[in-house]
Amino acid sequence: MDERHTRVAGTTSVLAGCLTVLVSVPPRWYGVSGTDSYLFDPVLFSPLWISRTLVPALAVLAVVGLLVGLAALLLRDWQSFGRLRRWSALLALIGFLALSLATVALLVVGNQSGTSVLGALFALAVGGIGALLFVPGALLLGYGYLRAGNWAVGGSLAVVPIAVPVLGYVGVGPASGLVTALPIGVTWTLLGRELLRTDFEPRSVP
Amino acid sequence: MDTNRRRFLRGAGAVAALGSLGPLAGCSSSCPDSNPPAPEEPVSLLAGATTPWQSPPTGRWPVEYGTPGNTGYSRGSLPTGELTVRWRTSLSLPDTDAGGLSTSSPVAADGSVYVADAERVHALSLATGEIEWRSDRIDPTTRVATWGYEADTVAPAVGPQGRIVVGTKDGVVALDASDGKRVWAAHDVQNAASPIATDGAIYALGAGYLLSLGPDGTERWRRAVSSSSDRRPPAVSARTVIVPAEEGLRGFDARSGEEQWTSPLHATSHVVAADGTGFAGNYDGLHAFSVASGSARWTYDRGSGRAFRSPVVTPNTIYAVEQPGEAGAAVFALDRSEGTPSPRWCSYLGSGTITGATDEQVLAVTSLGTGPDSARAVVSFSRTRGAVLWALQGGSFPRNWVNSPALLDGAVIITTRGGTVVAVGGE
Repeated sequence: MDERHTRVAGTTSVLAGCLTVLVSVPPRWYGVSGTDSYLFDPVLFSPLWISRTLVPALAVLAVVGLLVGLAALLLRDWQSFGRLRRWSALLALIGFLALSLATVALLVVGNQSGTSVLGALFALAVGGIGALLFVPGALLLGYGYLRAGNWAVGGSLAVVPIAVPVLGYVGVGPASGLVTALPIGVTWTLLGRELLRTDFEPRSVP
Repeated sequence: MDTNRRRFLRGAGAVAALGSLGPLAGCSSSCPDSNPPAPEEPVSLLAGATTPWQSPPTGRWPVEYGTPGNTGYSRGSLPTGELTVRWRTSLSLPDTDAGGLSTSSPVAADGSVYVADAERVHALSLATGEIEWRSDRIDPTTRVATWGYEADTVAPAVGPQGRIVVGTKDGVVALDASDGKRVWAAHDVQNAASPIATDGAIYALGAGYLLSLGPDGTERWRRAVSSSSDRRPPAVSARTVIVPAEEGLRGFDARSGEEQWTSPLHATSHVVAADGTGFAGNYDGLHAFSVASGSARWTYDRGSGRAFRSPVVTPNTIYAVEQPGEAGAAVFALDRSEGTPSPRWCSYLGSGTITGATDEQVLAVTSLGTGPDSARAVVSFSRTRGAVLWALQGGSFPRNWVNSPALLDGAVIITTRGGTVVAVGGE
C-alpha cells in the first residue's frame, strides 16, 4: 500500500469518524417531530426525509469509510505485526466487516416500508457474530499498539469495544445514540490521523 | 457415507430452521409503526358534565356504514380541537345471552338518533338526547360479535317516506319515524342484515335471499343468494346491488333484480361501492373492481398472510385495515387520486378497526393503553399525516366498549355495548 493510498484512507477514516457522529444526531434536533403514524413519502428535503433517506445513506458511507480506515491501518502495519497481532488484526477486521454488513442490512431493512423479519433476524445474527470477533480482536490489537508505544491508536482501539456497549447500555434519552457513536468517531479520527502522519516509521508491534 | 449423511442432516436442519422462520414474514403487520395511538387527553364518554347544543348538528348517517354504498364517508367536517360531551343517555336494554350488551351502532337523520337492541329500536332527540320513543318488540337481527369493535345487533336504517327500516329475525320491519309504530313488515326473509335504504327502494340481505322492497313494503324483486352468516349489508350504487355471496361477489340490477355479473372474488370484509368502483378485502389484499361489470381493476396487497378488511372510501383516500395472521392490525391510508392506490401513511391499531371518515379525518375504534387499564375508544387520525387529533374513551369493561359511531357535521354519535348513547361536538 503506497503512501498516496494510505493518505486517502486516512482522510476517509477521519471523514467516516465525523460522519458517524453526524448521522447519530437525534432526529428531533433537526426538526423531526414525533409522529403518530408512519408516513410513506415524506416531502423532499423535509426533516423527516433527511432522517428517513439521507441519514441512512450517509450512515452506509460512514460504515464503508470506517472499514476502509481500519483495513488501511492494518495493511500498513501488517509487516510489523507479530504472529498474535496478525491473528487479532484478522479477527478485528473480519468482525468489523460483519458488523458493517449487519449495520448496512439493518439500515436497508429498517428503511423499507414492509419490515422483513427474516432480513432483520439474519442481520442481527451476523452482527452478533461480528461483535464476538471484533471485541477480542480490537482489544488485543490495541494492547499491541500500546506496547509498541502508540498510545493514541492503542488506547482508542482498546477502549472502543468496551465503551460502545457500556454507553449503549447506560445511555438514556434521545441523545443516547450520539453518545454511543462518539467513541467510534474519536477512534476513527485518531486512526485517520495516524494514517496521515508523514513521519511514520514502521515499528514492531509485538 | 457418514460424511454424506451428516452433510444431508446439516442441510436439512438449515432448511428446516429457515422454513420455520418463513411464516413469520406474514405474522406481523407490514406497517413500520408499532405503537398504539397515544392521544394527549382522551375525552371520557362516560363521565363529566354535558353541555347541550344550542342548535343541533346537521348531516345524515342513515345506514350502518354511512351511505348506501357502505363507504363510511361523511361530507360533514368533524371538530379538530377541544371536544365536549353534549349529551349522554342510558337505554334500558333487555337481558340477552350476551349479558344484555346488545346495543347497535347508531344511525342519525332529520334531528333524531336511532339505536337498536336485541328486542326493539330506540329513537332519541339529536339535540338533547331525550328518548322520543321505543318501538314494540320486533327482535332485530343479532350476530355473534367476533371482534371487540363489532356490535351484537344490526343497526336500523333511515328509509324513505319517514320510515325506520330494521332487519329482524323474521323479516324487515318499517317503523314510523315519528312515533315508532310498526307501519309494515316483510316476513319472507330471515335474519336480515342492516337494510340499505335509498330514495325509492330498500334492499335487505337475509338468510338465502336478497330482497328489494318499495317504500311501502311491497316486494319489488327477490333473488336467491347464499350469503355468509355475518350479516353484512349489501353495497348499493345507483344501478347495481353488490352482494358478498359464498360463491363470490354478485351484482344485480338495482331496478329489475336481474343478475348483471358474478365475480370469483371472495370478500371477507363488507363490500363498498363508490364512484363506479367496488372495493372488498380478503386474505389476498384489498381489491377494486368495476361496479358495472365486476371486472377486476387492481389489487393492493402487502405480503402473504396479511388480510385487508373494513374499507372506508372517501373521494381522495381509501382507508383499510391490514390484519396479519398473528399480530395486531394496522390502518393504511391509500391515496386514490392516481387511480391505483399508493400508501400515504399507516398506523398501528391492535385489535381495532376503522369505521368512517370525512374529507380530513378518519375514525378508528381501538384500545387505548395496555393491560387491565386499556379502554376501548374512538380515535381520530388526520388524513394527510395520520396524526392523532383526539380520542373519545369508553371503558375497559365490555358494557363500555364503543361501537362504530355515526358521523354528522361537527358531531359524533357513539353507542356503547351496554346501552349508553353519547353525542360529542366541538367547543
